[in-house]
Amino acid sequence: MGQTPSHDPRPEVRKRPGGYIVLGCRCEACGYVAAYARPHCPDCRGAITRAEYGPLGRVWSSTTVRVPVPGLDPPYHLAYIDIDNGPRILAHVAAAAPAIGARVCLTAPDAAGNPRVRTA
Amino acid sequence: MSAVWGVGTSRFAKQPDQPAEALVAQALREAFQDADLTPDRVETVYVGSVYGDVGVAQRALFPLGITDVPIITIENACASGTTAFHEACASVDLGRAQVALALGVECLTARFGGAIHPSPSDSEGATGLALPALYALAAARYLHEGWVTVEQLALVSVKNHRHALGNPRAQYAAELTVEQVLASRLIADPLTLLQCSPLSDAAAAAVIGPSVRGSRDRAVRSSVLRSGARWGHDSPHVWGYDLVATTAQQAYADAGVGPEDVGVFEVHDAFTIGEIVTTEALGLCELGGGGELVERRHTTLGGPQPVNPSGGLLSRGHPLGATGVAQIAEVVTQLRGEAHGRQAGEPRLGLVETMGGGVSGLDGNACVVAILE
Repeated sequence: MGQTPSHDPRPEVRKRPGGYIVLGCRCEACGYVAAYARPHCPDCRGAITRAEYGPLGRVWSSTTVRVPVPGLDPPYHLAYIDIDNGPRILAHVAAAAPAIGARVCLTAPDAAGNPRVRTA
Repeated sequence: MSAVWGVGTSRFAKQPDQPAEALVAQALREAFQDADLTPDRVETVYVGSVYGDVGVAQRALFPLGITDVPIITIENACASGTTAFHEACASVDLGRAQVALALGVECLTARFGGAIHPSPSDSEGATGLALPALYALAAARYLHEGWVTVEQLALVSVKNHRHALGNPRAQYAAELTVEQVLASRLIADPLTLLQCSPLSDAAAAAVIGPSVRGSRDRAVRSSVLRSGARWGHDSPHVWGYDLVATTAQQAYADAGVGPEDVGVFEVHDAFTIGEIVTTEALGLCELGGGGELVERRHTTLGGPQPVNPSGGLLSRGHPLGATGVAQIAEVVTQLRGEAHGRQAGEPRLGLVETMGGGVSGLDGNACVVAILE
């Protein structure tokens, strides 16, 4: 208890020639998508394969957090991003909370390792 | 059908000088007196506690002589206390106990100085999703859809702070204006400080028996507990809506009633948007009608279906593990017609709803909806 978890639960972001992507998974049987590894499909228990999502997506909602949480200095901006043909992820946005519906693009994670997007 | 025989609570306040034992003692003394029962009659105890120390329940119950019986501590996020109530009722309904105790206790102010945030072992918790931000994302989406206005969000806070003026145990009671609520400092846009429930220290208790003994006992017509299905890009509603709606539909069906039959509600208004979404999910109005519902005073004391006459989590306070049992205590008091200063008419049925979250990708960790008569 009290120790920092050694496993990083956040989505894994990688750089590809076409831009940054999230390493996740997809169910070939039912089309379930996630930004995480899964042992099998939680919806239909079908076989899961690794999949890459991004770099483009759309803002589902956004906010600016103005209270401190451990490891982050307020204010900071968060958005739920629906990645094209992929899952919804929580990402940081550098300058300001983006408008709902705005097109965004995954970038390199921030210094703390948080997934990050910028306006596309 | 199980029944609530007695209820009791401590004061709701920032009171870090009060250990859990003292808060529990206050709630239990009142609950057993209310039930006209001695603590030695208790055969099993379910305890809601989210951030409590290991052994907090046994440590608090021991001085009151409640030992030697099964004591089960439950963590179900904000729905921990209501889950304890649900399980206490189930233990009586199943014949495992003649008398069960549901207890909730939380000492938050010694633990948190600011916003509560999910565990760093959770993906969105590790990304900085403080609980106000989770609700703020729902509020921002509702504003975008045109389903609510910032003024209607603020009205929830105005209403519940005004309701709390009739509740001597409430943490904050005030006559506020919409302008004052909106002018308080931003916590997570668009939610301002007065739209967020405070950190609280408190305990609450309910004594559960197998049937109604007399005119003061209140029957549990139904109680349903669910955890959330997955929530994400293909979900039709904002976070938590479907979990509350599904749980409520089952609770109405089990009780053989509909939302129109319920005269008083205690619901999970940890943030103003929470009450808006919840009143929609409970079927008090259509999707997107929650703002208008509060604006036309349908859910205000004196209106047809008061919501959160106690002041709700926003004003009574939100001691996580104790909240659900405190909601039960309020509805029982309302159904008895004993909520002096905040009585919601003469309700025949009352509904309690609590939902807790914090696990990424799930539509909530747990939701309980209970209907009492």
